[in-house]
Amino acid sequence: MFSQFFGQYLLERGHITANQFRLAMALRDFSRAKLGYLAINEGYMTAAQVDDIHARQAVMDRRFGEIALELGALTLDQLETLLTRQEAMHVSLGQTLVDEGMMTLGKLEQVLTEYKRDCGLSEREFAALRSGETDALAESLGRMPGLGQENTYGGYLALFTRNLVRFVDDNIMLERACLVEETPYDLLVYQRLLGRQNLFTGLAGPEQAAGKFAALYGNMPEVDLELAVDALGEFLNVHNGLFVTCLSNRYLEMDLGVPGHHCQGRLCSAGVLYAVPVVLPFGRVELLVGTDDPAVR
Amino acid sequence: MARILVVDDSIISRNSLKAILAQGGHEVAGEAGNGEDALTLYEKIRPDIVTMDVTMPGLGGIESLRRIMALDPQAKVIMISASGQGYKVLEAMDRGARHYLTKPFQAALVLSAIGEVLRA
Repeated sequence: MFSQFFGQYLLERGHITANQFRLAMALRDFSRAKLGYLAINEGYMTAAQVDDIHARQAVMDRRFGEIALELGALTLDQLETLLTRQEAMHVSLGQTLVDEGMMTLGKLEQVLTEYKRDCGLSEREFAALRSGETDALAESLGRMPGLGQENTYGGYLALFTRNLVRFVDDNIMLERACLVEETPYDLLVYQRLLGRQNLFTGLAGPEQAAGKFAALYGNMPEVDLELAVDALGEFLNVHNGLFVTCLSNRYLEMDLGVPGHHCQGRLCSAGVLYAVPVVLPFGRVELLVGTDDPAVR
Repeated sequence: MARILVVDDSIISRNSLKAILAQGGHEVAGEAGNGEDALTLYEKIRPDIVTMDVTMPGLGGIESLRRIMALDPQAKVIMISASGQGYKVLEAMDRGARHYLTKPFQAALVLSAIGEVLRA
């Protein structure tokens, strides 16, 4: 999953082209993660140290780890961690980009740092993302304290992410949930969850992205606006149904409202309203979650 | 083979269910996007089985079930719901529904439910 998040980021910021992204994603499964790359990824070594060891390896038949230990670039514990990780993880997009000459190690180190900064990820969140713990990341990015009980709504975005992967596309990038007062939309599909405290949930986005989302969910080559609204409403209904089931397992009861939709307007917070940008290969949509029935204008 | 009336406000869901029913050799005798149309069609075509979505705008699935059962106490209705609507399903079973299915559909479960209801 990290490769997909990171690849999308590199593409958006023009560090790689769409063709390079596709090629690198296709190639990454055919090679094995290298210790130097992993060491940079873990923050144990700099690109310059790795380059230095690679240069030494060109003239001596010795393993990367042996040289790194000898030079004091890695401790024995760090080396063991890297070797374990090397066994466990799939090769990453970053390494493939470097191996294929699409990016230097130095550039990779720089963009990894920028990525972490631009996504507002803490060290713990970055580690969770790198190690494929997308649930942990989604829960972290999807923290919406204004909704009230964290234990009730904490897992909403993690479940949404799993459902996106399951039903729509696994090539997704989430951004952090942010409070909004008012948000414009081209197409908004929403559903209320009714209980002791009602919850407003919605998906908003440009018609083109919403249409593609709907086509993938409905397993159809293309959809018109009516079908797009229908499919997005069904996706939301199925997702919210699974969420309500999770709540029910914790003895919290909520009921599903009938999905509705609006075209071209503004959604105005009436209490608390969060927007979570979701970047998909075909465009960007927003997941909206709020309390107190936001006004649809 | 059964003659089935499919009731769901979602076109995508109806299409998905119709494809599964056709795969099982059943005939979709009619389809309705809301409870009102379902009642009219039921009287007209008297299907062997009705599949009825619980959550629909206007006349919802539970009320539509109640009215169909009032029209025909022998009606065989299978309720359709998203996950998480357990107590509504229980209410529907109390009101005479014969079976229930959850979305997203799994072909084997749909066809097995149709078979069970037909045999009952």
